[in-house]
Formats: sequence, structure tokens, C-alpha cells
Amino acid sequence: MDAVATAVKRLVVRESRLSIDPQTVADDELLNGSLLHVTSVGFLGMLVQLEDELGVTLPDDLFAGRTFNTVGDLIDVVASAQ
Amino acid sequence: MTPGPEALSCYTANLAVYLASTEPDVLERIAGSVRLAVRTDLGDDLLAFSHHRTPLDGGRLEYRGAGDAATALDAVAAEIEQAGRCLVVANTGYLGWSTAGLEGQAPHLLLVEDLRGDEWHVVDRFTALLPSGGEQQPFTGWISSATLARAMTPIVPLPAEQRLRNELAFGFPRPLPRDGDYQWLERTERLEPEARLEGQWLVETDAALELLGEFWAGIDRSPERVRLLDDMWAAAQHHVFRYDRLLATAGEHPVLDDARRAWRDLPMALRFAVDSAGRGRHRPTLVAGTFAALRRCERDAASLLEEGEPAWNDPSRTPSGISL
Repeated sequence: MDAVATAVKRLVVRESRLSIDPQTVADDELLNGSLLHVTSVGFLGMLVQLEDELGVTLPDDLFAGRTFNTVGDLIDVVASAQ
Repeated sequence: MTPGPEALSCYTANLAVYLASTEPDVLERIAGSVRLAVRTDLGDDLLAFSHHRTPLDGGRLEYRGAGDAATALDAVAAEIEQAGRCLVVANTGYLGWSTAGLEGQAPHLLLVEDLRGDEWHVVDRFTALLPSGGEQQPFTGWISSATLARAMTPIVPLPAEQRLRNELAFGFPRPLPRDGDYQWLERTERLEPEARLEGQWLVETDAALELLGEFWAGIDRSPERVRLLDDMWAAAQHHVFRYDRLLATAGEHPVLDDARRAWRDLPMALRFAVDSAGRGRHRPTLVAGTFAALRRCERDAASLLEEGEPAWNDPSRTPSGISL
């Protein structure tokens, strides 16, 4: 698993207050579903942390016409900023 | 699913419950009243907002205040006896069902419906995530006089933006009691006063959004503007409420859905821009793009509603065949 996916999955697990191996989280897992529970406030906090941890700047059209439903959606946008 | 009062703001959620006892279709009226008007003559870093184009209470609710809790609770009891219920101005920092804490104190309308001995039956349908990461949960139940008095603890000093929100809670300005008073609202039987906004206002949505785009693009130079994020959240909440009710009853439509989504995403985009500016990463393009998209969606939705069914925008009536 690459650095982006590793960081994203570690953060979504922590944000959901789970004690599971982040590597077991599938890319198509819903950010707010039966397993993960990421709030909008927590989601914003993760964006900031991902910028800092990975040294990337997320795009200014981050929210324009984009929907973040799954872990993979978040991985894609962060990966595109690298 | 058609949204209920819990989808409204910290002022309107419990006002809607209060009004619903005598006006069963009040949610339709509130949805039809939603607008965005911005007062622009309060200085570079302060704005006032009117979220309703008609006075939600019909002009019949007046703020009252008392310097001590005992007098205030006596008056609340008298209002319950007289009107059957009473809205009090609570302080989120002292609500047992909110994690706002003293750092997150804000005025909040709380409905008190009954009194038995030393206990008060309160209803709070408002629910929201808080910027701190906590949340305010709905609550209905009996609380003691001491707990109610504590919940009504005045905010001292009352910040200017919170005073403006209190004044304009129903869409048009209302006189407020003096700062530091325990406060509640009394129902009067007076005729509805003229609904008039004092000062310089932008009452057209597109013009208001244009100004707000410029205002938030300057967050790096004026970080104190962050205090108005809650006003943007309220504006978004009200507009999402309006579009949700339209979509739930009038059927899906991509133009309305786009407008709903643009309002839904606005607070998140602004919070991210503000947080970024605070970390030295100014994002004027994000702010400009967000407001440009929202303006485009609002124009498209307005055109659709005006062309397709003018009555959708008429707050005074429910269009035939469509239950808002």
C-alpha cells in the first residue's frame, strides 16, 4: 500500500475511534457507513493532517462538484495533489 | 425524507416547534421564507444576516429580560400559563446536552412547555456537529429550576455578531434586553409591524453571495472574520432545508439538487479555507470558486423555479399539487 493510502486509512480508523488494522479497510469502504464514522468536522481535520504529513497542497477545487463517499475518493484527491 | 425542525438552525429549530402548536404547516412557511440578505454598513469585518424574507413569528414575539434568574423563571412560568409555552434564550455553554463548553458559548432558543413543582419540561430539537468536534444532541425532558436557570446564563460580554443574530433571529430586527439579563420571549397580540431592515442591505441572493465571496477571500488579512462562520453555516442550513423540502415533495431535479449540494458544501469549504489561512496557506481561489459555483447554482435554481412554478417562491402560499 502506498504512502497516501496508508496515511488516509490510518486517519479514518483513528477518526472513527476504531481499534482495527488500517490495512484491512477497503478502498470502497464508506467514510460514513457501517464500519467508519467520519464526521464533516473530522473530515476537515483529516485534510489538514494529510497536507502536513504528506507535504502536499490539496487543490483549490477540492469541494467543487466532488463528493467524498468512500476512502478511495479521499485517497484519489490526495494522490492527485502529489 | 422531508426534513423536520431538527434540520433548521439553533434559532429556528425550536421556534418551529413553538409555532407548530398553532400552525401545523409552519415548516412550509419557514421553507418559503428562506433568503440570504446581508447588511454591509457595520465595518470591514462585521456583517449582519437576515435569513427570512417575512417575520417568522408574525412580529408577535418580544424579548424580555430580568437581572436575576428567580425573576426570569417567574416570568417564564407566567408566560407558560398565559401562552402555553415559552422560548427562552439559552446559552449553549451551559446546556447539559451540548459539548460546546464555555469556549463555545452561543445564544440558543430553547422551548419550555410545562412546569410542575420545581421542574420544567423543555424541548430542544436542534442538533449539530460543533467546530470543536463535539456535538449538540436533541433533548426532551424535565429539568430542575436550577438547571434551567443555569442554561439561561447570560453571555457577558455578548459579542457583536451574537447580538446581531439575536436581533435578527426572526428575519427582521427586534429590540433586545440589556446585556447580562436572563432573557426569554413573550407572545404579544399586537398587529404585525412593518417588516423593515435598517441600514444598508443586499437583499438579492446573487449580490449577497458576490459580496460574501470577496469578504471570505480576505480571511488571511482579517482573521477575526472567522466569527461569522456560524452565520454562513446557518445560511447554508436554511437553504439546504428549503431545497430538501422541495426535492422531497416536488420530485428530483438535477438543478435543485446541484443548488442543494452547493449550499451543503459551503460551510466545509469555508472552514477549510479559514483553517488553511490560519496555517499560512491562503486559498483565495478555493473561496472564489466556491462562491462562483454557488452563485451559478442559485441562478439556475431561481430560473427553474420562476419559470416552472412561480408559486414555489411565494412564501405566502403553498402551490397547488406541491406540498413544500
